Amino acid sequence: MDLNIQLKDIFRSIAMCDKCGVCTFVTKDNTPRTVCPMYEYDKSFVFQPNGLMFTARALLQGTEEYDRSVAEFVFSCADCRACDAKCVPVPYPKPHVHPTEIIKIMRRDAIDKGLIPKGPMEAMAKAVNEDGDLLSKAAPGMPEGVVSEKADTVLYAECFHSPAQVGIYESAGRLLQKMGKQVSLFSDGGCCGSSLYDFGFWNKLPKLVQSKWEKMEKNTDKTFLFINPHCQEFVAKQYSDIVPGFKGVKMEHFSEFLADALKEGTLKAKKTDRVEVAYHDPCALGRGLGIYDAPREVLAGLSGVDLKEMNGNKDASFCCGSRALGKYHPEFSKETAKRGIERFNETGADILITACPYCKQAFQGALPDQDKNKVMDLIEFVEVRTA
Amino acid sequence: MVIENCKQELRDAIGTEKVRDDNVCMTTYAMDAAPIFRKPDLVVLPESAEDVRKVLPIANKYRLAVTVMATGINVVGLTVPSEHGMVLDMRRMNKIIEINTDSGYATIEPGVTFEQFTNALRKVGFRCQVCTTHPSASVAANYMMGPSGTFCTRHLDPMIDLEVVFPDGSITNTGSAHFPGSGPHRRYGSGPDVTGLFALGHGTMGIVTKSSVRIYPKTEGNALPMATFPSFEASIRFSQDVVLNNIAEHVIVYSWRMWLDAYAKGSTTFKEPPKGMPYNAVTMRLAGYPATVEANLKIIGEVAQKHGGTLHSEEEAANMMLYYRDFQQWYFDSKTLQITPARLEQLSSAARPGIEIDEMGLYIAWVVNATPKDVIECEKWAMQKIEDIGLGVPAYYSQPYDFGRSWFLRIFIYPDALDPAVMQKVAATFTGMFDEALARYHATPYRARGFGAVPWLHGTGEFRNYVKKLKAAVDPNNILNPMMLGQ
Repeated sequence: MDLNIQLKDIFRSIAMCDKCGVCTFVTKDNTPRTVCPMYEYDKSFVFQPNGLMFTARALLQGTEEYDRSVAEFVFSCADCRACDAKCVPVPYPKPHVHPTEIIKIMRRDAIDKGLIPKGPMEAMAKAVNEDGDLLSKAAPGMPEGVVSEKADTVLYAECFHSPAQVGIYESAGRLLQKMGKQVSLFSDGGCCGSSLYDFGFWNKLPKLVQSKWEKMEKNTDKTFLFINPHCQEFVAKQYSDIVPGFKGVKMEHFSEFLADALKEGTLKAKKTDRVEVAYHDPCALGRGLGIYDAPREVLAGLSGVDLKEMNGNKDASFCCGSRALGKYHPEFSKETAKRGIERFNETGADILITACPYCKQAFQGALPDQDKNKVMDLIEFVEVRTA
Repeated sequence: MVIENCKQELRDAIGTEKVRDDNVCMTTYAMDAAPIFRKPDLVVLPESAEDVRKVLPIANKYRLAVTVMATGINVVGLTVPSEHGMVLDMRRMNKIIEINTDSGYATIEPGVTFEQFTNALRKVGFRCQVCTTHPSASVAANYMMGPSGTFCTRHLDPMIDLEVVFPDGSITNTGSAHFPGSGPHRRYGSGPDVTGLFALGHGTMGIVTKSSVRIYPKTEGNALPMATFPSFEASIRFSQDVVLNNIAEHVIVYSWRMWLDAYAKGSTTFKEPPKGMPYNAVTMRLAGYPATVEANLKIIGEVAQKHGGTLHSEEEAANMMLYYRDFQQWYFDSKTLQITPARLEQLSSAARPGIEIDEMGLYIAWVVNATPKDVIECEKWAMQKIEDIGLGVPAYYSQPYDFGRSWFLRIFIYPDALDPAVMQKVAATFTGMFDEALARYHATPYRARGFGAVPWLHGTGEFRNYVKKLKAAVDPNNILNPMMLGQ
């Protein structure tokens, strides 16, 4: 999306929202079920995509002023994009923006006005404004023999501001070592740009993304391998709008890489105890990148693993809540993760697998300490189930 | 201070979480898709009839205006609250209480959506009237609006019995269920037809907490024949024949601009369809035993020919009419019409003449009812009038109510909803057209007019005074949607 876009540029899209509410549910097996986590939490007109679209309309018409309460509200959407997959009228007119993109424009406006929601957003704003990036500790080291500058694959190792990413990354390293697969590393010790984009720090993006691209550009003949689907989606969808002359890069998600490795036999399943697992489709990987099959192929390629599909999977996956940082409903994020756990419990499976560090962190946070190991990233799970 | 006391009493009565007054919430409830903005002081989200019975006496005590709404699309200002009033949002009351397949009725709460209801009926082999609205719309609220839908040719509205709460907290049933234990199988009990008092009442007479509505078994034989005609008059006369001879359960007449997209491509005026293209298409829903449906299909071909029309095969119809397959699901399986992204792609590629798909604004319609003879004349006049506004090319559909005694005509355009000047122009033109259509063609307006600019029941003479007297009897403090009858 053009970083300079204004609400007035998309007034037709905003006007197309007529409160229909189709964006909030999906129907499977003759049973409608709420897919919008906001509406699931608070069944009202306000706390759902329609409410946010009508807030945009009020701001545009001047019947509402931007203030802190509005900012808390627009940052309370979990950005799961379930509404984007359902809504037809809003993206109908040019330039075809989806509801969550309109929400991101409102977030950008809030940040530009200095209206920072309380809590994690304040810390993020402080860090971003000081460094121009969301810096974190550098990527952990890879096992011996894995890193080679001559490798045809680049492991994209950014966004370690999510603590869960560290463990997943370490597992990925050990899997690469098992396979004898060499990679070079792309690691800047910061954010790929997706969090700055999602949370409104658009004024920092041109410089940050340009700087990343200058380093990535040297490897455009190689395949970039992503662990965090938010990073991959951001590079795939936003770099071209931010970087003049962006040429694109070959990209692969780690789940796709593992699926191929199991099929080709470069990674071998280990015979071990039977286990029932449920797979949570992360928003960025599923609705964002359209990758639904690869993680399931990976699970099918392991020995003794039975996949129990959750009620609300693939494009109807229910959000983990982790990307809701506003405090319109202070407990919304945590409660949404708990509802995800409830859906997992309905399956009767032993382990909840996901493929995104934010989802893993959110679901683990919704469980007591003794049960946190019931949530694993796909990469971690594959590591223990392969020889 | 008074309003704060009211809020506190409400919170004490039904719980804090169900009573909202934060600024963001008030802003989102201050509008519907019409260009009106009136901010309420509070929003109440009841979860049961008992909650409503507690809320209304408190609102009545504080003389707080109450505007009721449920789920789904709201477009003409009917759910925009009174300034500083209360919105009673019924969406959380969303239980299907009973589906009675023996008698053919179902009892539902106001928050039940078409998606919920039609899916539940499908499981037991039944269907209901499905209207031209979203799957997320409230069934009860839609039925209360006297909608056009898949059974309006047979019935004026699908309501049988309502459970209603009044401002004093009293509660009653309006149909046969007012006899304790009898159930809601009949619209009439031992007195007047009170159910009708609430249809098209827009929440002015009482708050409906349960609705018992007509449902129908799915039939073994089904067909959706389509015939095309060179004129609107021929379409109407043909439709009258097939309806009055009990051949078609329901009929819709479409302007060529609306549905014959594949044919319409390339044309630029509404008066002249491209060469070889019919002026109207008429779809008919046939239902019954397979043998009956088959026999009726043959008769339809002969009747269409009599009126200068052509009956098309299913394949031809699907090629000519973009939504034909969706209509089959709509009729046969009570599947609510919904534009999917795939359909949107098709629609874009079949771009309607005069309407750039990417630049369409808000759907705004002018709707009247008239006798067959009058609706034929009204169509010509109204299409020209709406084209003269200069805000895009109009399209329409029309269908018979009550076995063709009265014809519904809905003409629509897609203006820019956020341009106040455009919307004022549309409102002023439409309002004037209602008066003129009434004088010229005895065509009666439908629901509210002019986005709240025209008083409800404007031009109805003593009828309006009578309604006011009835309202005063049930709502002496005029708290129930007072904007409708004026403060």
